[in-house]
Amino acid sequence: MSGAPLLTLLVLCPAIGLLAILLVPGRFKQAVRITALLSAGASCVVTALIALRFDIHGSGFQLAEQAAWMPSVGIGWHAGIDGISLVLLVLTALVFLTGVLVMWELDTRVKEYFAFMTLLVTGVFGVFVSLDLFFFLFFYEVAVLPMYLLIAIWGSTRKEYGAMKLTLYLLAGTALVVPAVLITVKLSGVNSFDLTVLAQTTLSGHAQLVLYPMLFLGFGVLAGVWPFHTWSPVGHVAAPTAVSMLHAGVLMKLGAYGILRVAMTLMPQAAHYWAPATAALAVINIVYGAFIALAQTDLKFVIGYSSVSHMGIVLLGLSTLTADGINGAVFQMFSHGVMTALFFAAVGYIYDRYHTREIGQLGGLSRQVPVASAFFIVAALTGAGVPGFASFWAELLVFLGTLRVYPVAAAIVVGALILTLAYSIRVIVLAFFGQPHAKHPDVKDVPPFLALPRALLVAVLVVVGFWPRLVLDVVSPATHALSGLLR
Amino acid sequence: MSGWLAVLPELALALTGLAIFAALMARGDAAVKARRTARVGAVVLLAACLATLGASGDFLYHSYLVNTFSQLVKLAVALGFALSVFVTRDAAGQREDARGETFFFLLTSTAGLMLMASAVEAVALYLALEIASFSLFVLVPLRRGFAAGKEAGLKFLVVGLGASIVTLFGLSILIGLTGTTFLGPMADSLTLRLHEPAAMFGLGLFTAGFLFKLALFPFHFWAPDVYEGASHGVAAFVATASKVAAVAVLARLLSLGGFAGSALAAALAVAAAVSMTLGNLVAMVQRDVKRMLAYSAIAQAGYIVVGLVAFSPDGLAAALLYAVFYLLMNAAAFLVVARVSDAVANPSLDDLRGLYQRSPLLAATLLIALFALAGVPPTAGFVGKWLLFRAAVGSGWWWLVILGAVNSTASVYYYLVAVKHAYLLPAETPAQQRAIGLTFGDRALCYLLSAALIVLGVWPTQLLDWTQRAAATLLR
Repeated sequence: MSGAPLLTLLVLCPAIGLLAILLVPGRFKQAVRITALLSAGASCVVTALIALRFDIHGSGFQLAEQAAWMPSVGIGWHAGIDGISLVLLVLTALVFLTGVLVMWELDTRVKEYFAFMTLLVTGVFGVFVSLDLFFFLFFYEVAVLPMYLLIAIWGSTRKEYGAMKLTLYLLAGTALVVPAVLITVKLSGVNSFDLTVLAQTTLSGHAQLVLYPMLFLGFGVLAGVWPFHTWSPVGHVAAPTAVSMLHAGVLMKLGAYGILRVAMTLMPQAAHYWAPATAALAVINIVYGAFIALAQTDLKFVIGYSSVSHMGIVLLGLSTLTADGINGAVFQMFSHGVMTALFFAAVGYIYDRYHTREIGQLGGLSRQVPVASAFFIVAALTGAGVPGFASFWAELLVFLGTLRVYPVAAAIVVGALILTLAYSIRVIVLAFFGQPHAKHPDVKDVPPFLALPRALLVAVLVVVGFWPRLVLDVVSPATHALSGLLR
Repeated sequence: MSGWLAVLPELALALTGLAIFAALMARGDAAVKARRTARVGAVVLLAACLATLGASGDFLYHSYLVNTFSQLVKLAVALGFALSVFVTRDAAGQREDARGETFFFLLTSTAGLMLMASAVEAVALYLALEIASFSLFVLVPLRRGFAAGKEAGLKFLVVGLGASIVTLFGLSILIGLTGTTFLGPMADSLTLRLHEPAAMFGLGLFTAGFLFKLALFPFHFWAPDVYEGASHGVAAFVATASKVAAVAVLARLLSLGGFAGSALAAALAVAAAVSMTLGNLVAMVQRDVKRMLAYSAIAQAGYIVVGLVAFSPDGLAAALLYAVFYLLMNAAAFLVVARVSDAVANPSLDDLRGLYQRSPLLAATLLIALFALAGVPPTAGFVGKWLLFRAAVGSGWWWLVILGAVNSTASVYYYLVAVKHAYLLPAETPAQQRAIGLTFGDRALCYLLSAALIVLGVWPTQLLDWTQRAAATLLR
């Protein structure tokens, strides 16, 4: 591959943004915001260039870049993307940009906020382009740790507890992943953490059977797999708007991506062996998340638990090990990312203005703030899998994949989708329709500048909803390669 | 006689020692003069160590060896000395009439540590250990207006002498078994006697003195009291220079040959496991930041030994690399501790409140230092631990590595609690709101240490290369 090292450049965009933000004196708040926006804009441009350079008919990892790093201990810089990573890069760039715009009104400790946020995004981009397991986990943890400060400083509702719980859960996940990776490399007998090199070797069946659950659960913590999901709603509720967007929208995908990229690729045999178990966990995620969401009174808790439920769909798709299922899973990662970002962005505006997220204290919002309400309603409909929005295709594909392998699970999932519809409708009706609450403050609707990022997310959901091939054609070659490996 | 250039660092040590001695006898404010001389001496010492980094030589009838290993360790020790002298500032925490002497004894301890790095003869090694320890026995109880300082000093002395006796006893067994005091021939002889319990016993006891310096379980009892009771600069020295030298000597002793899979390896692994777990659990309930750092040091000693029990070139290199990283992290942490609190009292977690407003730079330095100690990227702690664990997995210590990884996660809790106080909780008392004045040197050091921790975290390749070459010279 010739041309500029775009993938490295993409990781550097937020990293340079971080340095620039550190250099701007904290009292120039607007300058800090603009620097962050420039960094996000640059990330979007580079992502677009990457997408243009990407050959959707090509196979394997494209735009590969390699550099020796610590050759004596088998660590090298190896970046490369396939369709799956490309889609997630686009998602990340999108959420980064909208996240910066959504937080434009932030006024406390602005410099620190955007510094930590760009650090987090650096980590996320890094994970999606890394093909070397050292750097994969390096960036994985870079993405996790700023969360603590972002939530604990700028969050709300039990923020210290939520932040600490989230951080410890996620790091406990990596405490499983790091030894598992080291043992995998040791057993495969090569002195290299390069995924493409490791994929050439075959681990013994027994080793796979033990190591796969360590990787699945370790990464699964971040994907919100039941019963290790409890950090997720608490963390999302506590986090400030853009952090919720990034976290539920992008960070949880890192977990699913780790399972797909590391665990399933390196241990196909074990993936087969454990598939029924992981599918069962996924079904619990879907059903349990939906039930709990039905009973919540805080808008953010509803979204938090709906995320648990939706990530279950991702995990179920992966557990089918079929091309359809994995396609659906990746599609769901993308559409859930955009949808949740929209969800939290919509709620963020409402909370900023009404100072409550309690469904009981809201009501009739669609009359007072029709545009703000529309954003939330679009997200809720997407979540419910209404045709015309992106999630419909994702859920359909996962359902088709599951039907072939686990018919019972498929039946249960259809039931759960009705629940999803139920909690979505419940929230829409109670909070957004009916009579406006008497005590509502006089609130203006979303100003155009703040509506822009949210409208962008809606546009993506609708465009992909009507033209799913935009995502599917990119993802398919990669998922077919993976499901071929798993056969 | 160009070979004698290889002992340039030792020469610099002797001259600096004499210069400080002279400064102490001069008229006027001896403490100020001693401090200036120590600072200049530290720079000269660093330069001398850098200049002789590639040197090699063999002195005093093969008992004093200069090679890549010894010079790398000396460089690290010199760095630790320089940082400690800087953290000590004007030694305001030491007893009024002994402030200048602080620098002298720091230097003599440094001399002992540097000799430890080069000594390849058991008696010389023991003497070097004692020189390093006795200077600290003097320094620790000299803290001004801090009752616990006396207790710490006494505890340090008693436990230290106990460890010393054990070391001597082990040494006597080794000499009796092998008939030599030179480590090289001793190793050859020991390799043939690995099945003999006495050989294992002797070597195990001999290492005790150095495990004491490293504060590994079960030789860790002094650490919390000494960290708490010693003045900030002295504690920084104990936590940095002293630790690196201890790791180096342990690496030298354990690379003597053939111990992989022996009872000694198993015992060390268990000690490492207990050390990590105990250190981290007890650190969680500490309120005194220095005491917390002490328990964290006990845990960190455990991580380092995880690398050493691999008994492989990888493991030795990783342990040396981590020791250097550890020196930087701890120096950064102690710099913040020393500047946040006044010299007489120790900072509690509450004294860190509102630090991000009082001094954003100190808060950021603390953040990076603590993240490095916790092993979080992009700081050096992550790659350091990765290499330690990789080496241990390479030698089959899977359970130890999993335990180490779990411990790293657990440790994040108390490091984050400290970060929370510095970044999140508002100041409550007026004393906690006062802005902290930093000199130009303080600022420069904050930036340098933070930058070093991050740059080495992303690109440790050159340093790793050096430690690998150093480890290779150990294994001959």
